[in-house]
Amino acid sequence: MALPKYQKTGIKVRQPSGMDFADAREASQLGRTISAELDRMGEFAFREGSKLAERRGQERVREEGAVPVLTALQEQKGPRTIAEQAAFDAANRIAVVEIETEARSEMRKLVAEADEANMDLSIFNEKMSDIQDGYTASLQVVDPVAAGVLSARITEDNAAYSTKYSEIVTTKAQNAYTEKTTDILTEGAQKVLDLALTEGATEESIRKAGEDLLQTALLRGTGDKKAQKFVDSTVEAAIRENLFFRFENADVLGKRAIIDDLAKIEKYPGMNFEQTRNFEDRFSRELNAEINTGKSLFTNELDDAITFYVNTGKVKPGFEIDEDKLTGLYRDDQDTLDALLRQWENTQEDVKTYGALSSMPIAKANEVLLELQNEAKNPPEGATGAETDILKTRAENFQTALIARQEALRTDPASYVTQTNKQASQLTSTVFKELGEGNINNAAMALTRLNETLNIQYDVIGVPQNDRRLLSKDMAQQMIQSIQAIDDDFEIAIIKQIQAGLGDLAPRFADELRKNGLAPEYVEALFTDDPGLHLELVQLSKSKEADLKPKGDRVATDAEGLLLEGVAEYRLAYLRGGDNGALEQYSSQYSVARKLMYKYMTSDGLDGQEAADRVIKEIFPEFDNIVNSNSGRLLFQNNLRLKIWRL
Amino acid sequence: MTAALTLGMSVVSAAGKIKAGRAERDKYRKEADLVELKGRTEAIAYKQKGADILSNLNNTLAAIIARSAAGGVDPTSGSAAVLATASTADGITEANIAADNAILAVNQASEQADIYRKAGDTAYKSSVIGAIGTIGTGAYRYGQLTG
Repeated sequence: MALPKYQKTGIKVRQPSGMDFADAREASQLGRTISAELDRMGEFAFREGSKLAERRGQERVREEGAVPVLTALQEQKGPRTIAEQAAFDAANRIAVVEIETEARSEMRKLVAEADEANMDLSIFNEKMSDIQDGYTASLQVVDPVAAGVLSARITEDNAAYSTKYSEIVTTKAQNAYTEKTTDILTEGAQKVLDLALTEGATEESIRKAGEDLLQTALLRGTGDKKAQKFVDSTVEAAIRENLFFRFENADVLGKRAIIDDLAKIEKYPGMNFEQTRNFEDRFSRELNAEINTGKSLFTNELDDAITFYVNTGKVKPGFEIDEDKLTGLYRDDQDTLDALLRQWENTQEDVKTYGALSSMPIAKANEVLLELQNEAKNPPEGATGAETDILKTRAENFQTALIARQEALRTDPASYVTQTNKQASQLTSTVFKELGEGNINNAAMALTRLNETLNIQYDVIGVPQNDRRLLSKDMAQQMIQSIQAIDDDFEIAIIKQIQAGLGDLAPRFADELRKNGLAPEYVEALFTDDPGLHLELVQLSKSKEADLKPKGDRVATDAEGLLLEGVAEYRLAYLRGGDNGALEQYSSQYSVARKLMYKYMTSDGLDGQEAADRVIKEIFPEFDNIVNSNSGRLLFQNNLRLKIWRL
Repeated sequence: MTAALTLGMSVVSAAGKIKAGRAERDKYRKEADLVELKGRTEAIAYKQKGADILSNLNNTLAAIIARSAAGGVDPTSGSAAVLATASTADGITEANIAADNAILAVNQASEQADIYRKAGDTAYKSSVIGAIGTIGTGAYRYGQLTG
């Protein structure tokens, strides 16, 4: 018997199957992710840091300058950090521009200086090389590539500026030569033109000078055509100028000859036919105008000379008959010239027959005028028209001269006599000559003699006493200026001397000066012998009454009342029977007295009564020299002023 | 405009990365569940094997006892007893092996599932970090563009 045995199934212990370690894989992936992200962030940070570093480097260049940065980096053997590298790169770029700009500036400055100083080209080149060498030396701080670029640029700049200066020098030289040539030719042309304006210059001599000018122009390198054109233009202008010059300087006959010559020429040099004719017409017009003006001038001169001759019996200084000139003027009008010349001859004959109007009594003058007028109205039998005209003109001229004489005697008789009487004229000159030399006595003596001469002449002509004057207006004005120009101290002595020298003539002299504008204070000074008062009055003339008038209520009015009261009788006596002249004299005298009274009150401290009393004694010395006439009217016993002024 | 677009695109990209991380985590989780299920299935199969072994042993012992009795042999002594003891030892050994294998299968599946879950979490973390990096990059670029 066989027993069964358990049959094994062969089961084995389970072996672990392949594990998928996904966590490790994902952990690894996470690590990589973290690493990648951190790397990326780090990259960002680095990039940002680099940018900042680069900016720092560039800022450094900006702050320190390109060349100093490069120099500093060179000393530390080149850039090490990003900032330094950025600074190095930026500095290189900027340094190239900076150095080149500076070099160009120096070169430009050198060109300007050279231009200004007209520097020699060789010296300029030397200085330009110095600049280039100097800036090339600064390249050692720049990196080799930039240095190469910079060196090339500086070399190029050197060439450009050297060329520029070379062109400047050349242009200057050309301009100088051209200018010199222009100066020479302008001067030469001016010589030709000047030659045309010299006496005796002819067209031929001008053309000869033109040939010389052409040679000069050709020698200076001017082109043939240009030189010829220039010379032709100059010569033609000179010939035209010469024509004008000759015409301008010719007398009437010469001008007529030029016009006649011009009429025969079809074209004058430098002019076409029309221009030639225009010039001929123009010259003819000018000649006609000159003839008309000449005739008019001669007629006026002749009229004036006739009037002068009739008045003085003398030929007027400067007047003469130029027969050649008159022949030219009156070539086509000989009859008129003959009549004018006959008029002059008749005038001379008339003066010889009747005498000069300046010394002719008025009755005689009227008689002569009547005679001449009758003759003009009834000419001799057989007289021509021109002759009757002459007779009429002669009468009219005499009448005109007579009227002029009377007018002159009325307005300024002393002036008329002085102008027509040689002795009066000489004495007038003597008066001023002696005054000018300080010989007052001699001047007074000459003035006395002048008065005598004038009176003689006044008697001859028949001038009324009231119209007679010692001084002409001009002479009085000059006297006034002379007196007022003298220093105050000398003035007193001179005034006294004049008074003494003139004697009885002194009041008349003073009055005439007053009438011609001598200050009233001076006039009063001429009427007093008191030296102190003289000085007072002269100084008073320099002050204004308004400035001297005392201030305060009624002070001035009361004082003037006292003054008026003190001179009341004097005034009545002075103005008795007087005209406006007397009133003027009194008013002038009174105004000086009042002004002086004010002065005594304000400057000398006198009261109104004292001042009025003093002034009355000084300015109105005759105030107590008045008597009652039989008719009861007040009269001066002896008043020199009135006696003279009422002549 | 360009700056805003750049930033917007970065945000969208980051969101995409996170979404992908989540999907990866879900996939791992599902794989973990599946591995655990497989482990349990394998353990059940081992347990069935152990039951079969014990059944076979029972049958063998019954045959020994029956044949011994038939043959007049005391089944509790002699060779029949030895044979029965030896069969029992073999059967029990194999049944224990089957039981151990079932435990091993479950344990291994559980271990694998844990691994997958960890991997899923890690993948998600990785996607979040990637998204943060993307947003950071976008923000940096935005800042660069707008100053």
